[in-house]
Amino acid sequence: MDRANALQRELREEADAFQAIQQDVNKNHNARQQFLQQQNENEMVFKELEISGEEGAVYKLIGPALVRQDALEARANVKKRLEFIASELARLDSQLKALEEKQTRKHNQASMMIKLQQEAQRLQQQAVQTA
Amino acid sequence: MAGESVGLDSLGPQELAEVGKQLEGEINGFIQNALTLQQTAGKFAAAGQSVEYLQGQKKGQPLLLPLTESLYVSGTLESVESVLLEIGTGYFVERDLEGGIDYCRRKVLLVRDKTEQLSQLIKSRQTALAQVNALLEQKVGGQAGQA
Repeated sequence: MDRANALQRELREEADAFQAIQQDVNKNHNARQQFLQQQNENEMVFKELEISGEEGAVYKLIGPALVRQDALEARANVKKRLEFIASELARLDSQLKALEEKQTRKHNQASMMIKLQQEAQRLQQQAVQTA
Repeated sequence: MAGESVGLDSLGPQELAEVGKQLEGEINGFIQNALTLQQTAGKFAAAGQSVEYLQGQKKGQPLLLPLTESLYVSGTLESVESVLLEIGTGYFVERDLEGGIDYCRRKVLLVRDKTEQLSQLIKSRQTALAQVNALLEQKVGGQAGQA
């Protein structure tokens, strides 16, 4: 009986760990979504800045005020931002891969334990029947 | 998502119903998005028309600026040569009128393009949903026959 209890507890712990991983995966997805959105917007801005070239004043909204910016500097800033976003996306990608690996490992472990538990239950029943 | 139709046969009625519900939720979300896109296209088109209208005006033209829906203050057109475009992430760019009109036109085209893509996506989800529902009916009917 103790063995069955221990198994049950272990199983619960495994399930909790699995859920924690799932939460991390979800968090990763949300962060990725946000970065993808930012990437899209920044790419659009960069294209527009390229179209306007050197002529045409560039302003940036800082708080409630529009502040005049150097066109070249603005372009460099947006480019830097894009690079940062790309590196963040790459980081999230590798993180997700590691999480998914961990998830399948946990999943395999859990199904093995469920099998063990079923086996234990069967043996118990057999013992009861023969007794 | 592509693997979804492969495993559909092996799902039980309850799971099928869940998949159907999920698809329905997705479709509704997409329809909302499509509506927003359409409104956005309309806004850009209206903005483009305003800039076009500005083309026919002269500097110093008197006008009334709306502060609220019912309160206007008088002013004059200071510049009919350039407009300030909001291009995203807080950046604004000064362009001549043609540039402004061109910008609005390009945005309208972009948004229409995305709307088209989205409606394709909605269509594919709807066929998937129909598939799931048909299969569900088949399974439930089969069970009733057996019982």
